[in-house]
Amino acid sequence: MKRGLHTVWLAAAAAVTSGLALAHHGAAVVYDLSQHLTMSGTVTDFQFVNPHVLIFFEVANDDGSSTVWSAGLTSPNRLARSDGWTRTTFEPGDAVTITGSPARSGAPSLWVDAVLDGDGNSLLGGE
Amino acid sequence: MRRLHDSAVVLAAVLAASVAYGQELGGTHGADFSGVWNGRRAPGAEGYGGWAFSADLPPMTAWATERFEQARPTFGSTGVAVADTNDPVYQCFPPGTPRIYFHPFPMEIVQLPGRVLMIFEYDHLIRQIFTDGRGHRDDLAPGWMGDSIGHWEGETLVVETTNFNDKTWVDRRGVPHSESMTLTERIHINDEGLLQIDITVEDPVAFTESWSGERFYSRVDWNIEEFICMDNVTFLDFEQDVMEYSE
Repeated sequence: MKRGLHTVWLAAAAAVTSGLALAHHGAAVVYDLSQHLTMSGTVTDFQFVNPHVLIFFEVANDDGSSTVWSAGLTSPNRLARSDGWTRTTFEPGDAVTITGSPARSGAPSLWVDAVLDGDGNSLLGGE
Repeated sequence: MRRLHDSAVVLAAVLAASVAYGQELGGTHGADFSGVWNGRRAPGAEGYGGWAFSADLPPMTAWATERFEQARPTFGSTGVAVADTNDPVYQCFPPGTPRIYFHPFPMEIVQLPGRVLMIFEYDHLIRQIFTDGRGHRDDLAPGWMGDSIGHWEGETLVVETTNFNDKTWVDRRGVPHSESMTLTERIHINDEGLLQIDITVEDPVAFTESWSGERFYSRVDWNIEEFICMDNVTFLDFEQDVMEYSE
């Protein structure tokens, strides 16, 4: 599949008051923004980097196996300013519950709508 | 009494320094815009304020109309998916002035004697506005951000910018401009405490008459952080893996 740099763009795409889902113009191409899943698991990796913060977390399956899911968010600058996120907001082993739009490809990946920590506290929603 | 005298001396010194600073800023007055500012939607600009100066298109010449029809922006009535755009910013070219005002990242204003700096978080772009009385240069190659000369009219900084290239758009919906574009900005702090930038665009090659827009910024207690356009490349691998996943 031919892809250019523009297909992965996100930050300039963020409308000033748009929600997280719209913070990445290409998100609608990669993720089905009309659908929403909620998954709980244990953080395996937290990448507090531009252009998108990524959370990787391991989710137990019904058959006893487990799958590592990824979750994409907006930029670290925006998360820091709106909700006080830092590079240590998550560490491997932390419990997390994430609601987001699933990947159109069926990949275990979400474009994030909501994040709860292990105590059920919402970590998104600030202005 | 001695303490009162000392205070008066200090006050006089501060006033003298302020006057001198104002004169150094290139006018008889000046104002303090120093700090970090974050853009906010213009009143009544719902639906277009994030990507254009006005709901209607500016009055374009045939030259500009032809280019506008070739543009494939991601905003506006002719907007396309990101994968199909030819917006130069999506190739990490600078948005240029005044389009930089539409990119949703804060900017810091630093006022120096004879110069006002706008430091944009987006890709760390900088505008230098010279207020030391110099004129426009005539030896520069056309640029993205232009050559900005300012002077103070009371507490308003009036900035004239010339010497643009024609490689970017005026806004995010694909309105082009030529190398003949001239911007006049009137920058002041309005009654609501917002930094208000009134912009008049003149470009006889692209527009049949001048047109105007305005941008507003709130003062915030943030630092300018790092945001590098080319970091988007690093996201490519992740997203490609997601898109090409097969069970």
